[in-house]
Amino acid sequence: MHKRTTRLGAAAVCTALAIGSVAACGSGGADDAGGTDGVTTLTYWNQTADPETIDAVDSILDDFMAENPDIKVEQTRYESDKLSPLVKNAFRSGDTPDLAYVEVSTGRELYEAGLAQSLEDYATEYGWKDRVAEGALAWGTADDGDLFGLGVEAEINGMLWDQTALDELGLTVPTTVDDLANVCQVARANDIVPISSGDNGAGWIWYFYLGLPILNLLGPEDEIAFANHEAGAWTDPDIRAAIETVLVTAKDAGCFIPEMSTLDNNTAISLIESKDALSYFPACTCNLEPIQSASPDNEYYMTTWPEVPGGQGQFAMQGMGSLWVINANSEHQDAVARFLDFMVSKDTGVKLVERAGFAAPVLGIDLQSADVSDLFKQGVEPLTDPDAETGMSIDLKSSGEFNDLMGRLSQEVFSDQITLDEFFDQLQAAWENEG
Amino acid sequence: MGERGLSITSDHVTGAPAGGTGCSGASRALPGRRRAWRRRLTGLLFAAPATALVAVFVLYPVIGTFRISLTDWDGFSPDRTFIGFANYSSMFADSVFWDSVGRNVLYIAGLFVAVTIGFLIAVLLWTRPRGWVVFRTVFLVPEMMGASIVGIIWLQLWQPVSGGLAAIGKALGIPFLASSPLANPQWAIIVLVLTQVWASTGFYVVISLGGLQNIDPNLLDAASVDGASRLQRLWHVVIPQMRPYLALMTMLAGIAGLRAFDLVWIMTAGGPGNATQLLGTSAYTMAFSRNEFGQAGAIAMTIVVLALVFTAITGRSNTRES
Repeated sequence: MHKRTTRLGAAAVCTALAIGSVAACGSGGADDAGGTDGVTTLTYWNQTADPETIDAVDSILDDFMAENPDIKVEQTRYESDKLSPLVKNAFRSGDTPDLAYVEVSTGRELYEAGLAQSLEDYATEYGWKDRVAEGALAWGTADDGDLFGLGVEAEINGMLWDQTALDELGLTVPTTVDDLANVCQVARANDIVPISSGDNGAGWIWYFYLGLPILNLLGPEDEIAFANHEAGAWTDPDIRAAIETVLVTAKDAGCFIPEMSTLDNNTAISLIESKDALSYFPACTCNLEPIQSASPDNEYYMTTWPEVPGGQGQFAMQGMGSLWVINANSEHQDAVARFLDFMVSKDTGVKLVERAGFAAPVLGIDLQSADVSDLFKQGVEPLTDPDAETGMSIDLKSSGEFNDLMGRLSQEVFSDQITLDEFFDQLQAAWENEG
Repeated sequence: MGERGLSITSDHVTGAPAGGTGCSGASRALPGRRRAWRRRLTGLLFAAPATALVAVFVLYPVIGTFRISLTDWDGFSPDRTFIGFANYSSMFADSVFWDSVGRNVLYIAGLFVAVTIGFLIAVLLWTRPRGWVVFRTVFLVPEMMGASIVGIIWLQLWQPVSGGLAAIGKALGIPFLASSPLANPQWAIIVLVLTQVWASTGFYVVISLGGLQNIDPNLLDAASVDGASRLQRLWHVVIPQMRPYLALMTMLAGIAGLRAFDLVWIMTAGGPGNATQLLGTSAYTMAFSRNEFGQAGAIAMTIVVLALVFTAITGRSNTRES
């Protein structure tokens, strides 16, 4: 009898524990403001980067916490292409993080779904619109005119050439597609990879391989109209011819690593650092400082895709890689806003430029006089030159669905799974669905 | 003997007093029923935690996924329009889906190969060759590392410019190795399957070894005395004794093949294009790249149904054989 009672009691305890643990799953956590010690803990999901950039950003985070002892920032880093789905899932569930550093298109999707907080009130309170460059604010502004994201990583995207290696081979930076084909053939003859690109993933590098030739064909104004779905079509003969400078001319000239889909972006960067590659694409001003510091004596040159036949010239593409968005369900939005305000302050802007190599678009900072490499200054010139015209990344105003399809179709046509006709037709069909 | 056995079984089930008739009066029947009720309650309470956990963490998500699969939900919008089985019809009409199913079948076949290899290695280790403990550990290392680490290691080995296999391929003049087959739409899935076989074999070695330990050595001795060769002992004694374990491994391999995701995602992300897209990666892409949660739900439900069917088939055949 006693044994049976014990067994029954044990079962009851097990059940109670199980129900308790299950109930705890749904009850949500308590406010993590720290309550008792008065410290607000912010959860911040960030992207991985090269070690130098991580150190630089971490030191700026430390500076923030030293100045604001009532706020503790708990940062977690994820691979950039993995972060977007994680943040979408987390924001949708109403859970952490309070703050995330996501791609512009993801930030826009989150805001339009009501999951990211409008920053308009904070922008007014802290005067962000008077302190951050208008071009940078535009990336974080939704169609309804509200600011949904704030970024400090304005960037120029293009091609990075190893000037020293080009000189050794008796070559110059190619400005036309024919020049490029010639450079690629010489590089191949010398057992050097002409263009290093890392396409392991869903094909995001193709946003630039397709976008830059279109930009050089149409010029910035019309290219931005195209990216905004206002004019043009992927099947237009001129646009098709421009893209074929990549998919036919450059590919046939052996410019690319045929197996680029097995390389990740960091490996692609390491190939130019190790001199196994003559150039790296798509280069970003955010990569320049680490690359230069890895080979301080080497000379590099940042440029864009060569001129395409019948085009308007060569233009730089300006982007905002990522920006901060605040979780609409965060209980600590005011504290997050203080953090953002710190990040767009002039002092922090200078630190971001000099320590992390970010082209921080904070007004009052002169990027050309900052203590950074000449390569960085050369790369960001289109951002600092008031007369420079820049285009816009082709993916920024498109949906995740279209961008994913663009990447996968590009991988398919590059690996000869589909023909060029099928590629352009399918891309245009998806583009029309977007509209 | 038979009566006694039945009596004991009956007593165990009904709770009647052992050896008695069970009809000694109403005053004794009530405690008997109470004891039976108490036993049932005890059983139910012991089963309740597992049932609650399964209900919350398995049944609820599956039902939730099924509900999502009947909507056009984009993953963000608060509105979910019911569209019936439209996601299923579009899924079945999509060639990417059927290609993914085909690759999953190939993946499962690869895992069956891993089961076979694992079993054969276990038989070899069971004979206790010199250093068998070391070998057992070595075979388990890939399983201990996990799919993420395995994926990263093999991805690095297959790197076209700096990878170890490319260097070997170039040195030996083997174009297949020199140009990473992971980037080749025809070969990429084969490379993934081979990697999975490499990664999984150790797990099946361990399960097989566990089963082999339970084989009665007297049976093998008797077979030896009867003049059975090693192969005959393996075929007529070992394999029949191992059938429950082989059935279990087959079931686990099938389910693992159906829900394969991590290794593939790390090594190719389903690419180039959709050349290595499996059901799991398709569902993930639909949900988190394309924001088509309804479509992703339909794919996920397909995986669940296929896994249940596979489990039922292997379970039934195992029961029959038993």
